[in-house]
Amino acid sequence: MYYINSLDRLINQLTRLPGIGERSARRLAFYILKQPQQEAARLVDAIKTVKERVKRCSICNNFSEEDPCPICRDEKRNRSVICVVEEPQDVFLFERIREYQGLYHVLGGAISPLKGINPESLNINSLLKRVENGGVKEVILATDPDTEGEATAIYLFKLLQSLRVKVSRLAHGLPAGGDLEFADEITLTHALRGRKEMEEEWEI
Amino acid sequence: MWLKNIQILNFRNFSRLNLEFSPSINIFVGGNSQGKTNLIEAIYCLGRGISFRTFEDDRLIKWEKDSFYLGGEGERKGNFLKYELSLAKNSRKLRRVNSHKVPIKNINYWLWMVAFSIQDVKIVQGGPFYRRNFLDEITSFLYPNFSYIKFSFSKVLNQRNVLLRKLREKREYPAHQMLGWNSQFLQLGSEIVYLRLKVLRKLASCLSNIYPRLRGSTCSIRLVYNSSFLDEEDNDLSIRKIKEKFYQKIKLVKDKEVENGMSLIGPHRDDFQIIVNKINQRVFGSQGDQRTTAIALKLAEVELLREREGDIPIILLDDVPSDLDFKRIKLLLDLVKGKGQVFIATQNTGEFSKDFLEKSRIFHIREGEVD
Repeated sequence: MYYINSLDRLINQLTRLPGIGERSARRLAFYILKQPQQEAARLVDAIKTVKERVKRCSICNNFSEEDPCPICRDEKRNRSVICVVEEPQDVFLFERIREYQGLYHVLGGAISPLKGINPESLNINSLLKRVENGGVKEVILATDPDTEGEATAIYLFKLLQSLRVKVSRLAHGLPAGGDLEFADEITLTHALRGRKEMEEEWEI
Repeated sequence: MWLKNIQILNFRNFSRLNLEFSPSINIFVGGNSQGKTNLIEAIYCLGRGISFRTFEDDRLIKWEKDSFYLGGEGERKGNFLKYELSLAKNSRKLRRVNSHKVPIKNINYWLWMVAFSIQDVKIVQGGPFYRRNFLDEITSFLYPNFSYIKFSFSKVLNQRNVLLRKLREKREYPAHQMLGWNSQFLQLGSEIVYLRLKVLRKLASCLSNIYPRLRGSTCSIRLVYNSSFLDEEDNDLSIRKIKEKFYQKIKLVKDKEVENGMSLIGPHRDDFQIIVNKINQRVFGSQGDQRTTAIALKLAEVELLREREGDIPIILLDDVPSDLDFKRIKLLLDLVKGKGQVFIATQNTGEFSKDFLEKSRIFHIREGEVD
């Protein structure tokens, strides 16, 4: 059988990546093999550097090359609001919309007894400390709208309640620019339950 | 609602088959293991995208073939649409309506069908699981949100049980850890019970109409929901009230839940009793009565679907004489008022009257071939 030991090792390593099946792994491996030496070296270097340089921010637990991270250090940001998210990717998503000017807190997952993730294994204590230290007026719970994310939000709400801080939860409902027609039943139900009273319009 | 024709390729024991159906009665005649039930199953699969016999879809493909195809024209509210379902080995079923890919779960693209089979008696005879399944299926037809609520509930139930098992090992009850799961457990559980009660009331009112006609005598029929936290008379409460009762009860059993390491009350434990003339059918009903009751329940399902769709679902009777006698089949046809389409699979036509057979289209099935 046709077999190259080192190539097989590369394919095996690539299949461990999320979203990469065996077929894609093989494609990537052969592609890398065909590239000039320095191209492959650049990829290796990029992986090495990112692992060496990027650490967790000691305040918000987000990925960063500096500690504290640029967001936590930025004096122009609204330091009285903290948006709590599950993963660093979520910070990236919020930053992309440029609407939110507050700070973040990355939990590192959501509570799930099934996966063995209990509150202690999440980055919750440091969140409570941040709020206890004062200056925080609102905590926005932006965990996923699934059962785990909901359980985490409810748990955090209970802890934060005693700290006299406003706690809010991301709304869920209809996607913007969409057609009612394309909303699934449960989204439409949420949208209906979370409906808002319309406000007075300004007449000109 | 009816199926005009079907094209079958490599499905179960059929290689290639093209059939044109009558809009009223179609009878498939054949001996054992000739393919009657397979034909009924093919029709059901085409209409609904799933089988009523198996969850293992690969089994639907003909032995030593790689894929099956089903196609046919069906009428819904006056429009004819082309329905298709295909499956290649080790891949997913593909459903198309008028050449457009549609998700199997989307009930807006179903040809509604109700299949009667010998297995139905389990709804009456079997454990609570069978009755819950029957009720939940109808509930998800009538209230599309129900499937999602139930899906989320079962996820929460799993998580909660893992947590309770862990707490049993440590023998403590940190309320704050349970909080996130409890509140979802209560909310989703109450919504499930609320919708089930609603459907059970509808089912009961259909049954009280159907059952006397099936038995040929007047009788009283009651469906009683056995909840792990509601009383018998609490059959018409708001979600809020249900949740309140659920909450009160769960507080009482919380230590016990930790002791057992599992969720002891909730809709996953519920059941309903079928009481005919004050007799609990599951416990005291005769075999014959239990069969009649099962048929009555399925007929009530037909009726509820008819109300929902404004159209009679296609009725499939699998291997009937063993379960239904001719009198009951006639009654069934009376109930659909000669408007619905019926498929009957039977070993011989001896039980049917001449007049009935003349009105039907008859297909003889031998070893996967039809003439």
